[in-house]
Amino acid sequence: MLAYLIAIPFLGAFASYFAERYEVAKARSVALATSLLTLIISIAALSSFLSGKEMFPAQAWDWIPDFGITFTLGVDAMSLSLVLLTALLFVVAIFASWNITQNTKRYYALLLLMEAGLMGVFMALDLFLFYVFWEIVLIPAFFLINGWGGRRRSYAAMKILIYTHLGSLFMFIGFILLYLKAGSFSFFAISDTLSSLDAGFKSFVFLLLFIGFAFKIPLVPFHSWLPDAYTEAPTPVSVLLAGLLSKMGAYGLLRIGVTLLPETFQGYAYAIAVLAVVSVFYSAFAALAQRDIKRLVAFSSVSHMGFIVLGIASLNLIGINGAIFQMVSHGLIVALLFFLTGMLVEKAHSREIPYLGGLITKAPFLGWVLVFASLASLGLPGLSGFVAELSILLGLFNSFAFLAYLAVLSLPLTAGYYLWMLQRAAFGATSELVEKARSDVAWHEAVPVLVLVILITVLGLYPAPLMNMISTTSQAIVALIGGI
Amino acid sequence: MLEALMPELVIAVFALAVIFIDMTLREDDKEFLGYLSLVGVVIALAMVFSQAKSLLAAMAAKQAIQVSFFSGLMRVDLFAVFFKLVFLLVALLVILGSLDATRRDKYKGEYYSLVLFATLGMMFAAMAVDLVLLFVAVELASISTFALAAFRKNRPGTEAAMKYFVIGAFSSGLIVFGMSLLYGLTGSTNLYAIADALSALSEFHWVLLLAVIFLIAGFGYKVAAVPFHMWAPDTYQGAPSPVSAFLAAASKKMAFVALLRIFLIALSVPVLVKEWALLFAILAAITMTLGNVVALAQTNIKRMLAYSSIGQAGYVLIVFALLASTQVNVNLSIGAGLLHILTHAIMKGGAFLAVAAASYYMIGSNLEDFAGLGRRLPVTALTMTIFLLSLAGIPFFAGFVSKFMILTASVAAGGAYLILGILLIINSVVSLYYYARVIRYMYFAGGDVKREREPLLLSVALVIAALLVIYIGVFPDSFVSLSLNAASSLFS
Repeated sequence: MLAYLIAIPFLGAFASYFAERYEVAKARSVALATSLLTLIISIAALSSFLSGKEMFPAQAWDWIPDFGITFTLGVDAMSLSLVLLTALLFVVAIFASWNITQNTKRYYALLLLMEAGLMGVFMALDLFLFYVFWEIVLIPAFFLINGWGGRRRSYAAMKILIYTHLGSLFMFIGFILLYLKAGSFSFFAISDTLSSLDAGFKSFVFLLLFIGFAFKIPLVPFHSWLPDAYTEAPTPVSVLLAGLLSKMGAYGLLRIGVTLLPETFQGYAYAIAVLAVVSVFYSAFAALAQRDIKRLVAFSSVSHMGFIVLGIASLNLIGINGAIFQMVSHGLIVALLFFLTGMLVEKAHSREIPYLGGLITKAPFLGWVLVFASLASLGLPGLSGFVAELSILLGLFNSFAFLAYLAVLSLPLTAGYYLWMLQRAAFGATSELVEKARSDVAWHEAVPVLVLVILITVLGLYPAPLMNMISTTSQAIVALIGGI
Repeated sequence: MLEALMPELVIAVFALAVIFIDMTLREDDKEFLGYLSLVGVVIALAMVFSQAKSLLAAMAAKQAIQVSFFSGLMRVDLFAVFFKLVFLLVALLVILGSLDATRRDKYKGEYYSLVLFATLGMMFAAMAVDLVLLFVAVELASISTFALAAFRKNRPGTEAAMKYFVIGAFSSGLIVFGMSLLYGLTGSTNLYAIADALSALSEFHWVLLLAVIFLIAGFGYKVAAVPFHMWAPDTYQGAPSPVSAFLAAASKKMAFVALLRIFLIALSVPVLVKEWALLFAILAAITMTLGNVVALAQTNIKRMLAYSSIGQAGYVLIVFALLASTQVNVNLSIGAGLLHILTHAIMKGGAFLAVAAASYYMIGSNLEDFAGLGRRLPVTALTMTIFLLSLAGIPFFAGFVSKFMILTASVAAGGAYLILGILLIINSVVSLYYYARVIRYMYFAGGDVKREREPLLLSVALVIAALLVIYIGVFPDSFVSLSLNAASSLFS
């Protein structure tokens, strides 16, 4: 079943291209149908997972036997929640693409190729396969930013391509080192041999892997590609970059960094947590200084990704639970925020905070959703972000109390830049541009917004089902390092 | 015995036939000669293919088979067959492309017969295990390609050919000198006899080092390794694009065959290996770095491809450096080099043919000329994109698999060799920048352009190459084991 999650978007990419090329159907309709079908299959995967079916691994084929490379797919609770998030956000992204009119057949084909790649990353249980999907996601992203992005798109596209490719190749060397010891790229074979290896070697490998993950998440010294890429990308691609591509890094850190090299990670945990705290504060301050809402959201996203890394670094059950929960929650919230910035440009003709004053009176739907999303992002109790950040902080208190105090200090800062933005943009005196703003809401805008709003609220009010599910993964991870 | 040489006989017969039939044809009918040589190459390719199959089967069954011919003058082992596949495949693509690309040129008979003769020389070079035969074969191929580079009598073409010829003749001189020193020391021209004589040598002889240096320099010119590279950009830029494809994809690979045979068989005495492996390590490091960095600055696509080709040759040279390491299996490193030679031949050949397809519509080869190519010549632009991504080493394309193997070999060697691996990936990132730049121009620049009808046969050549690149990238299994087996057959 899992292979379909890759195959369907992949085939759908060609289908949507040729359907429009030969005027059978609109590329958008085919793409929407494909992404909905993928969503349905991933829900089916969820139900078979919940019924207790063994899915880790679920399917395996030989690929390059000379190098012990297999095509192994499998999911546990963590990867499954990210698979579901991927399937959902691609549907949202396609709704967000409604206004894209040029070269649609290529656009949707690239979008679906990206979905296939992302699904592969979250399901691969062979390091070679993981790397292959990890890299291939970048190519559609490069084309999408270059073809449909903002004014400085070619610069931004080149930057994300080169930076993250560099990081990935270091990670790849790490994989090769592991392969040479284990004689196989399989996740399980490597985890079996690793315990017998010496600490210096593992520490070297971990550093190589960490460079790859840190570029993708990104953590602060590795982040300089991000503001350009997120801002210049077309809205739907920003949704995907922030919602999913950044999760690839966090997922890799947990799945490979922590699970394969637990003791090594433990040794580095404090340093990584410090890096994450720096990342949280640096990007929170950077967000404070932005005029462009999209840039503000971009920096806020780096800040929240820092929280995920904090949760991972705490290495206890509640912290890791929080980190995985935050992956899902941040994916939903940031998707909503970027979706909104797209609507802002279209209806209020600007993303600049000073030109958006009084939005709430002229375009109430837009204004209130902006308020909701900002509150969710700053961690208002009752919404999903709160649950995640609370668990992360609780976990962190148990491990590194000092860092936890520091991290708590970032919360008012986050609240600060969001509320200040709301005060100037949503409320405040009505600006000239907003006077001319349109207040209409089309169904293809309302549906994804409402779905996201509902999910964020439900996960905030009743987090138990998701939390219980992911805690099976967290327990397995924590057991590796002998913690509770 | 004759059976083993059938592919060469076919190519020779067709090459001669092209010359003679050329005399009987009117100018308008000469396109026929292209189709004729195409038939010859396809027949030879089929024969080599079946040779490869039977050799693989014999190796799998561990049967002893006769591979040496003419009292040890040549060996038809899987290694030789592997290279013959590469050369014939490139010849096939080049001839297919040339049918369109040289449609408006005169002297078609000479052109196609030269391509066939050059291919013949390369095929013999792949089999030669004797210095004399090796030299004759390399010269046959070189002299034919000198003339091909001069095929169009315009200024850049003449400059290209002149540079290529002078440097080529000079490097042949170096090679002969190196070979004669080897002969003087050992009294034999057979590679295996040389190896025996050298291992019997009681002490290290400085003349041996001199021979090594001359051979590396001489073949260094032919593979365009830095600092012997300066002819390549001018020649690749000035020569007609299909000829550039032939030079980069086939002619260069012939020099690698010669290097592999000479150094791995004749000069693989342990004391010597350390010496030349170090030379190759330095050569590899500067070749890949300089090639890729200078490629960044190029605004002409053919020149950029030439420098990228220099950089890619550097990746293959890593393999020679790894032979001094005891940590890595010889078959793995040689196999990695062989696979990269194969994949590079396809993707670089394809990229030059894509430039040829553009110049069919008088589109220049500057970066700006390629603006909007995605809308004007969609097939050319799409296949070019595939070749460029593959050259950059993006997964699911052939170049990724072979680069992965080279990287694995250098990581396995460990220690200082890891530096070569890290240089490889840094260069890979650098190269991604200038490849992606071409893609950006093709798809995201340029104003309104009309779609043109693309030249059919060139498109067929491009599509074949692109499909091969994707096939090797997605199902690398059989190609990986083919190259590993070919590597091991070198020593059996």
